[in-house]
Parts: sequence; structure tokens; C-alpha cells
Amino acid sequence: MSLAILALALLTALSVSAQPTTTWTGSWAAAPMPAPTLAIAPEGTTFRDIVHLSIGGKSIRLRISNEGNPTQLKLSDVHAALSTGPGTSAIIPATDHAVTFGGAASVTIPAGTYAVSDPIALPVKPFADLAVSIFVPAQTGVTLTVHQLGSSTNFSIRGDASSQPTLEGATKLTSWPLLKAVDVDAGPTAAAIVVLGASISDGFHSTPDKNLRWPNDLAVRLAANPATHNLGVLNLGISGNRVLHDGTGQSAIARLDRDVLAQPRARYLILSLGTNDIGRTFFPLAPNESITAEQIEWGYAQIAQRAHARGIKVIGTTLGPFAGANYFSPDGEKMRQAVNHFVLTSGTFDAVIDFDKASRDPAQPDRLLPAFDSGDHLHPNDAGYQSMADSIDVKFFTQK
Amino acid sequence: MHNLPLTTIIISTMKTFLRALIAVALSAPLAHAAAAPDHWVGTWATADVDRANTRDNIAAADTTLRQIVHVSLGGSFVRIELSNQFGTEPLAISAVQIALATNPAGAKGDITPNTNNAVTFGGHPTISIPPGAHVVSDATAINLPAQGDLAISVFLPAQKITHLTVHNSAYQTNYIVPGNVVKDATLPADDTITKTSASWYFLKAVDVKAAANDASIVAFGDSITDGTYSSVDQNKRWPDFLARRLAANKKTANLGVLNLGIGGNRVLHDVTGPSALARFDADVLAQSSVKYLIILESINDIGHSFDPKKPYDPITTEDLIQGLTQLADRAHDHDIKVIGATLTPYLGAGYASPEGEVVRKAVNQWIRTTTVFDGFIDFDAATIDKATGAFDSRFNAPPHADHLHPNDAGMEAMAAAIDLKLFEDKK
Repeated sequence: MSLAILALALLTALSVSAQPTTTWTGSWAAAPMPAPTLAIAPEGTTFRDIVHLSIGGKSIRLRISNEGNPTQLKLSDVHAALSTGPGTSAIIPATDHAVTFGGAASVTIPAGTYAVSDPIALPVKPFADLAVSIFVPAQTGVTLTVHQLGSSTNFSIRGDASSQPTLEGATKLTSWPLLKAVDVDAGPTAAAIVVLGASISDGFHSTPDKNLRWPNDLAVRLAANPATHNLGVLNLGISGNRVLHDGTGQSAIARLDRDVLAQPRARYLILSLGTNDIGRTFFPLAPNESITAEQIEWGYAQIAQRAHARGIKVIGTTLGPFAGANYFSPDGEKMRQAVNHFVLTSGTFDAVIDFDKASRDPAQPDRLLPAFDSGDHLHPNDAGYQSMADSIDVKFFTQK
Repeated sequence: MHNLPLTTIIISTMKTFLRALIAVALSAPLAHAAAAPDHWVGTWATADVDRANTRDNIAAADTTLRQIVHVSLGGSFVRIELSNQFGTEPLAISAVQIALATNPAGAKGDITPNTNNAVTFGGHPTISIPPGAHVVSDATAINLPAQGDLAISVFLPAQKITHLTVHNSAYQTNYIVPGNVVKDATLPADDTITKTSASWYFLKAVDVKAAANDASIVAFGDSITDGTYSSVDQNKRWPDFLARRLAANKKTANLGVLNLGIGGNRVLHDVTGPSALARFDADVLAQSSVKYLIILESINDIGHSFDPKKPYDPITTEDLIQGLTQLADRAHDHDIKVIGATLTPYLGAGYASPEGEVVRKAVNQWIRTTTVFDGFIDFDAATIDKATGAFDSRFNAPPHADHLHPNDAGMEAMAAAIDLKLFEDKK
């Protein structure tokens, strides 16, 4: 027997090829969720997503999601082009590229996963607005995957219009359909910062089509600094999301693998959620949703530990004030203070950002500064988001 | 961060102090926990699937699960990952202990008493795992030898569990006992009290604290990797044989092997577990310190697509190549080297057909020649009877001559066919 095994071993050929020379880093991403209401027309539907990148690169790659769907999804005729700007479906026709998947123009994405495209020879500058057009042929029993809160205008139109310069008569969508990430070839020194958050990261009440969410503002600051200009910012905020309970999206602790750890070249995580856990403890939407400050802290520690195991540095953030918000309560405020104290003092994180300090009213520290309040006493406005981004010490991202 | 015994804290004090000084010198006002995190490497893992809790009826009353896992790397600190990935309710766990299992082949779940240690999670012995989530324990001291058998005892208070997160086919005997017996060195001898199980429940991974250049290899596949028809309690799955070979070779003794095979699994379609593409983030990328990935999967995609009796979920060679390429791309994004493995013979298997054989050969030819992978292992050549094109009868013999699954000798032949130089990359 051992001779036979040895003989077989000798027969076994071996080839070692070079690693791909392209280094992909996330430049844009959004958290995927099922969208049961988004329909496919009988002649098929073209979706055109307009996304605002962070870092640029020599070429790009798309990731298209079928993660909210229990069946397979067939796509064909995917195109990427530079957009003429947010709010319009118009592309710069000379930049239009047909996108392939393993050389094929169509791809069938299995249930619950996503497809990575082949490299696309479309150089992109930092903060480019990219138009990604995806034709979904007619098919039944499919739930499309989207990121709900786009805070930007996207488009859908009947039939295959993927290569059309503009989509005349298209329906406007405020969600991003199907596209989950754009990666860029930005060389081996590039890396990505992932923001795992809720509505305040997602940019709720920021001005649509202006890209004024705080992670956008952070990306602008990073780009202005030669030591950090090669860091992409990936916004994995989901409005309504919680650390420990599902609801709007899976809980942060459940979606960590997919939304953070799987992002290419993710080296930093900014963990910024918990206010919904607190708010829903005192104003539950369903039974058994109450949590304690200690449970939120335990969830933070779990997330930090799992990210650390992947070599990702973890930055905690304090939770901003919310007195006057619809789910505010004095007990909730006590819990927020306890969680913020933990964030600032526990040593769980590699660094912390004091978003509370950056957005509160010094005269009434349980409230947003009126100049930063979008009006609901929970979500900052554009100025508040800018103040949050400005409070981040970007030197942290230059440490090895 | 971790609850470490005093000795460890003293040993690491100087290092921590120096790191703290450096951090202060850098004077980043935000940074305050600058000590480098410990380096954790996977030594054992399993891929879980969803199973309705109707037949098992787990935790209808207070229950202890004592589950035995055969690790690859050893270490003096371990942490375990418990999963409620497929649960629809929070999973309550009231106590967890780890210990060295005593002679797992016949000892009824006995443990070596002075090795039994309580496991905590963020300092808590009691946890509730949210639906869809998994948790990682604190560092727990135990003198775990390489190729050792770890007994993980989990006490579940009575609770409603609708969906189990379970690895169906452990090829390892595990124990289910009423009440809280996590600290007991021996379990009741009475078979009506101590029930056995062929599955692992709620287990996901065991990591060891390791040296900086230690890493793990993920074996990603279907029943052939999972170990179907390998001898129960003997650890004769091909990844087990590989782990023993790696350990015996100085240049590869720092590599753990994680078996993420699921019997029946496919690249492109769900059924027995999510498809390989759908489970990739959770089963491969989320493991600790993965450096290499071996992919041996497609035979079930081919088998069912070209089943002469009941074909379903049709696929083509191109579909499989597209799917396998996706897996390689996604691993390369994380600097994981990807090793393709040719599909073992299947002529004569229940779902085999000449049309399917054409696809198997085409996929194998692609695996041998593509530049998508960083290397390949020729499991086909290691197990085929060249005269017939079917499984070599030495490796697929009665009582399990199904022309599809290798026996223990076949598993050993597969592992022997792997050139360990594939894993000697120093980068």
C-alpha cells in the first residue's frame, strides 16, 4: 500500500503560478438587503446605479449581489461608465465598458451570494461618479437585493438599456439596486476603512445626490492628506440597524463576516451603532427586544475581537445625543451615557472617535446642537455630519 | 480584553509596557489600546447547516452537549467559536467547559479531570447568541497537544430552538446528557441517560494562540472532504491525514487544517447547506489566519445535473469554471493562496452518466491547466483506476463500494498525493 501511495504521489503534477498582479481595494460599498417590492418587467429591466467612489484606480471591478434572494438570479449586459454627475442617468459615452464575468457577458448568481466581475479597463479618479447598468432579464420568483437608503437618485427602465447614454423616461429610485461594491486597483499600499453603522452612517437626512454623509466627508479629508490619500471608505451603514437584534437588516454581529471581514483589503473598522438598540429597548417594535448597556458593550467586544483576528484595527465611536427623538427616554439617555463611557474608557478599541462631543449642544448635552440637527433630534444635517467627520483624527490611519 | 491567568499577564507585561511607550511616543490622541492583538490561528473548524429541531429536540429540557473535536495545531491557550447562524431565536448558553478528551475512540465522553476549564465570553459564563450570529470566547488556558482531542461541553438551559445550527456528519461520537454536567469527568454509563450523536451542534471553530507565522489551510468541499465512509472516531478524513503529514514536516508544522466540507454540498446550488459561493464568507474568510484554500467541489453539481434517472439544477462546464473562478478571486482578495483539486472518479456512482463524466474530465483538465489557481492537487490521478475510469477498487471497497466516496485507504492516498511544497511559501 505505501508503495502505491508513493507512486501516486510521484505521478501528481504540480503547478505554481504567479499571484495576480492586480490588488483590489474597496472604493465604494453598501450593505445588501432584500427588496421584495422591486419588480422585473416582462421584457426585463435595466437598473442604473450612480455611486460616488472614494479612492481612484487604474481599473475597477464590480460586485453584484443576490444575497437577499432565496433563488438564483440571472444577469446579462452589465455596463460601467462614468456618470455625468449625481441626479442624472446620463453617462459619458466614451467611457462606457461592457462588463464580463469569467469572460461571459451574462452570469447566473446562486442564491445568497454575489458575483465578482472581471477587471474593467476604466481608470477612475478619486470621487468619480460611476454609473453601473445591469440588465435583469425577465425571470420569476426572484427577490432583488438593494441597499435601501441610497440618498441618491438611481434609475430603472424596461428592457435592455445598459449601454444607452441616457435613460429617457426611466423611473427614479432612491435605493441602490443589486450593486454591492466597486473595487479599484489602487496598488499594494491601498487599504479600506469600513464603517459598520446605522442611519447616521447611512446618511439619513443628508442632502440627496450631494454625498454629504459623514463617511463621504471623512473620505474627502483622507484624500487631502498625502499619508492617507490611498484609503478607501466603505459605508456599510444600514438605517435602523442594531448591534444585537435583526430588524432593518441583520444585526451588526450577524452581518460582520459579510459586510466587514469579506471586504477586500479592509484594514480599519469604525464601529458606530447602538442608538437603535437603546431606543428600541424602551420603545420596542417586537417582544423581547430590550437590552442592557452591558449587552451592547459585550457585542462591541465580540465585533472587535473578530475583526482583530482578521488583522483589522477597530475604532469605537460614542453615540450622539438624541433627546427629543421619538424613541428617546431618560432611561435610554442613561444607557447611552453608560455605553459612551465604556467606549471612551474600556480599552476594547484601538482608538475612539467622540461623535457625541462633535454633535451635541454644549448647553444641553443630551441634545444635538441645533445647527447640526436635521429636525428629528436624532439625525444630524449636512453640517452635523461634517462636524462628525472633522472630529476624526486621521493620524490614526497612518499608524502601522 | 481577555481574562488571562496572572502568569500570562506577568510574562506579557514588559512587552505591553514597551508597546504603550511607543504608542505614547506616536502621540495619537485617540489611540489608547495600542498593544498588538494576539495572533489566533484556526486549529479546527466545521461548516454548519440549518436543521429543523424536530427530531433532535435539543434543549427541550436542560441539556449538556459534550462534543469531541480532533484539532490540528496545539497550543496553551484556545478560544472557541459557537454559532447560531441558522437560528431564528437567540440561543441561550449557561456554561461552557473545555477539557482534553480521554481516548475518544471508546471512552464515552470521558475527560481528563485536571484539564477542565471554564470558558467565558467577554468575561461572562452565560451568553445569548443572536439569531444569525456566532460568538468567540475569551482565551482559555489548556495544554492542548497537536492532533489532540478537545472535549467542548456546552450547557443549554431548557429553551425553544426551532432551527439548529449543526454539522450533520461528524464521523465522531458526541454526547447529549440531561442537566448540567459540563464539569463531570465521566458521563453516566446508562445509554438511556447519555445519548450519542453523530453531529456537532453549534460548534464553528477552535483557535489556538500561536506564533506570528502560524496559519491555517481551509479544505473546502463536499462529502469527500467531510469524510463520508471514513471510520468514525478515527479521524481518517483526508484533511486529517494531511494535518498529520504537515505536522511531521518541519517546514509545514506551523499550519493548521480546517475541514469545511459538507456532504452533498455544491458550488452553484443550495440544498445540503448553502452553496459554496453562498457560504464562502462565513466558512472561509471568517476563519482565523487562513493562508491557503484547497477547493474540492463540483461533483454534486455534475452528478445531479446529469443524473440519468432524475436530472435537476442543470449546469455546464463553463458554469462550474465561472463559479470556481469566483471562489478563487474572492480568496485572492484576502491574500489567500488557492489550490484547486481535481474531482475524484465517479463512474458507477448512483448519479453518474457518460455526459457527466465528460464535464468532470473537462473541469479537471481546466483545474490542471488554469492560471486562476496558485497550484493544484491531482486527487483524480491519486484515486482513479486508469483501466476503467472508475474509483480504484482498493480505495472504494465493500461495504461502501458506492464508486464515489473513498474509504480510509483512499483518504490516505489523497493526502499522500499532496505536495507539501505547496504550503512552504514563506511570504
